[in-house]
Amino acid sequence: MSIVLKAFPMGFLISPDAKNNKISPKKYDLSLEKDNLKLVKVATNLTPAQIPYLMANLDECTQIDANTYKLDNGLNIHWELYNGCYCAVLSMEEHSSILNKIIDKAQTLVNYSETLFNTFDVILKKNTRDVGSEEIFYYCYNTPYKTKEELLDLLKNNNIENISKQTETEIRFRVNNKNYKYIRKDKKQNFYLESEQKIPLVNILSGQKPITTKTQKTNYTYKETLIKTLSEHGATNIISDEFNVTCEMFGMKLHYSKDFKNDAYNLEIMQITDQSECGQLLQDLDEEYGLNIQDLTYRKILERIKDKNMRLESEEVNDDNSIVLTIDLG
Amino acid sequence: MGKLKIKLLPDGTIEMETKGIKGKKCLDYAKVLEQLADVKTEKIDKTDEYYQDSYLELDESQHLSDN
Repeated sequence: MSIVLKAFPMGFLISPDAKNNKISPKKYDLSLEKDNLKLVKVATNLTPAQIPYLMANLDECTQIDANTYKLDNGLNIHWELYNGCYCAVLSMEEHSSILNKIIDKAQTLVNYSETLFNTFDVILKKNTRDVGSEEIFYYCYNTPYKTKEELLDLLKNNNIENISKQTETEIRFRVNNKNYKYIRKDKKQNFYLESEQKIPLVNILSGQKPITTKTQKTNYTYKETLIKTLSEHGATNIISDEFNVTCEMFGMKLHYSKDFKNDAYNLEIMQITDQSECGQLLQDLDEEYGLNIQDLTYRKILERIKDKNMRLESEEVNDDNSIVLTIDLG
Repeated sequence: MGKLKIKLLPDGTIEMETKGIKGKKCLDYAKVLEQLADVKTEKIDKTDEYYQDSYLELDESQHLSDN
């Protein structure tokens, strides 16, 4: 009596859709909802040493703490590490007497941010923004909701299951590749909704091929195997945490983030100048990841058959690089 | 006793065939493979041999009860 079966290692997401998913240009909603703009996050190519130097060269700048500064015009600058590069998180001071006289607060934030980066470029005599990455705009909306339960019902009714965090004061979720969060400062207040909008930073003046960003689903689920694959493929600056892996390869920036819905990584590729090179790279990574999973599975089987009183009778490597193990059940 | 023939493909997927395992016990070896290799079974195909052996089992048990 016999059967034949096909199986997927846990290092893969079993989803035929994921493998067949073609890379597609990221779509951006460019409508600027000015009234609700709260923060602007700008990725830079700055080193840790350049940041204090730049801030020391700004006029009318006060340091609030190690990473936070305030300008006399009411612009707050907070530096943070995000996706492997230093980002300036820019906002307007909420209770500024100067700001109260300004009618269009959102436009002022955009203008002051632009002026700040122009000043940085002059001081360092180079472009300080990370061309090919994205500027992220955070928008804020008031809501009538007062409890976490009301919001969870609302999300459930809208079939939103991709909820990554939920506390009494914060609920984070993701829809169509955009991050959202409901947040409130204390339990007495209504929740407000914060949405994230990414706009690519493209060097329009360079006259070179357009630089684009793409997203793709993968069926990779093992972080260690993914890092090994990237490393073997010549990736540099590999940085990882519980849910993210970032690296640089052939001039492109790759950001893998865990999809909470199915445990596989989604990939975002930035700074693409050559589409065919990018497509080839993704294909090579798929093949390399598969070979690493094959090797991992091979080692697991050989190690575990001993505990089950089984014996490796023969081992054969075929021309197509498949390995056939014949195991005697004893 | 029987054998497991496990094929590890270069794309990371696995195929397995059982040989010489009597009765429906061969189906249990899908679970064994899952434990050995941390895999999830996608599909199981019963071979002609499986059905032939099943008929044989049925015939044997019928003879036993007839006797």
